[in-house]
Amino acid sequence: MKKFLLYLIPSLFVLASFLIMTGGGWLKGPFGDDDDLLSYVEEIEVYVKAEKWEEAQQEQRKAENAWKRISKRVQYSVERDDMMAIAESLHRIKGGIEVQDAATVFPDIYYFYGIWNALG
Amino acid sequence: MQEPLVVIVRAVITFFTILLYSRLIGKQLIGNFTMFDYINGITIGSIAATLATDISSKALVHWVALTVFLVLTILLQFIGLKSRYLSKIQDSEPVVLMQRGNMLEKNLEKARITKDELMQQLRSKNIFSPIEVEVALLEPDGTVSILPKSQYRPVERGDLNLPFQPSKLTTELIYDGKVIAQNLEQRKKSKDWLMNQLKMHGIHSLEEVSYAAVLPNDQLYVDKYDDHVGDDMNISDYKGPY
Repeated sequence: MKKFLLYLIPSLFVLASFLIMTGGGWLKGPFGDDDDLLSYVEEIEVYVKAEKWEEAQQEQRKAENAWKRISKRVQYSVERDDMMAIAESLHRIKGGIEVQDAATVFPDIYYFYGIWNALG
Repeated sequence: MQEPLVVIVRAVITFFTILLYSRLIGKQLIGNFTMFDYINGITIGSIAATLATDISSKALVHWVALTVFLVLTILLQFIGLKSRYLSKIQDSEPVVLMQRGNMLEKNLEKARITKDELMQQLRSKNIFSPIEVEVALLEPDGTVSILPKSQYRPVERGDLNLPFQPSKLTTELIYDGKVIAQNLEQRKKSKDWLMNQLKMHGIHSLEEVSYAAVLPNDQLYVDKYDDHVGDDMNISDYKGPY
């Protein structure tokens, strides 16, 4: 039994460490009703195309709240620069919606998609 | 990002990873510290420090590097075990620095050791005259092994044909008031024998004993919690506390 535990505990530790370090890929996905960040940004894209600025603003708020939740989950496995880039892109999208300028919002939405895909 | 929290988690992962990996590498790293082991150890330490604190990059990247170093180190250990020739390529061979009292300048130069450093090594081995040296070797781990000439070697029991007993170890029997049954059995002693011996030392309960061991001459050494030590050996100059 002692020998079994001697191998089991370090193996579990390595496994747990590995999961913590690689978990970003699946931890960024939605775990509840209000943390589907990707779908909120996709909604923003749809509303901005249709020039529905109020709806886009609401989705942007949801996206920011979702990121607050997700960032706490993924912070152990992703690079700090990527996390800052996501927060930055969300702020820039917010600014673009505020001045109702689709030309500034779209580059940031696609910048967000790029980082989001690589996150994890 | 909650930086302190991330660093705590990464530091815990790093701490136990290096504990585990150093156990897997084995005691060789401390016992036989060649130049390669030295640099390898420093590099592993450096990667581990980055894994714990560099949150600008993924933890996994550093963890993988650490694991690659572990795997390569163990691989080289196995290669060294299987092939003596490759082991010598890895760790180099001992170099003769002195022979029959003569310094071998070519070898000293090859090993990049000055005569001053050699003399310092001799002095550290209690040899104050180079003439006493039969042979001095520079080992792969950087230490200098010295064989003194036979006329300068200390006399041993065997030289004088004196009777000698086989060497034994000191075996612990009681630690913090608890009897170590396995060791008692190993030295072929019973618990009754132990209790009788303790009684002879004026001890009536195991709880009084901090440490007890059978010495190589089969005598029992006992250390009680109650030390009865006076102040006459106190080397402190002031009352303190400091």
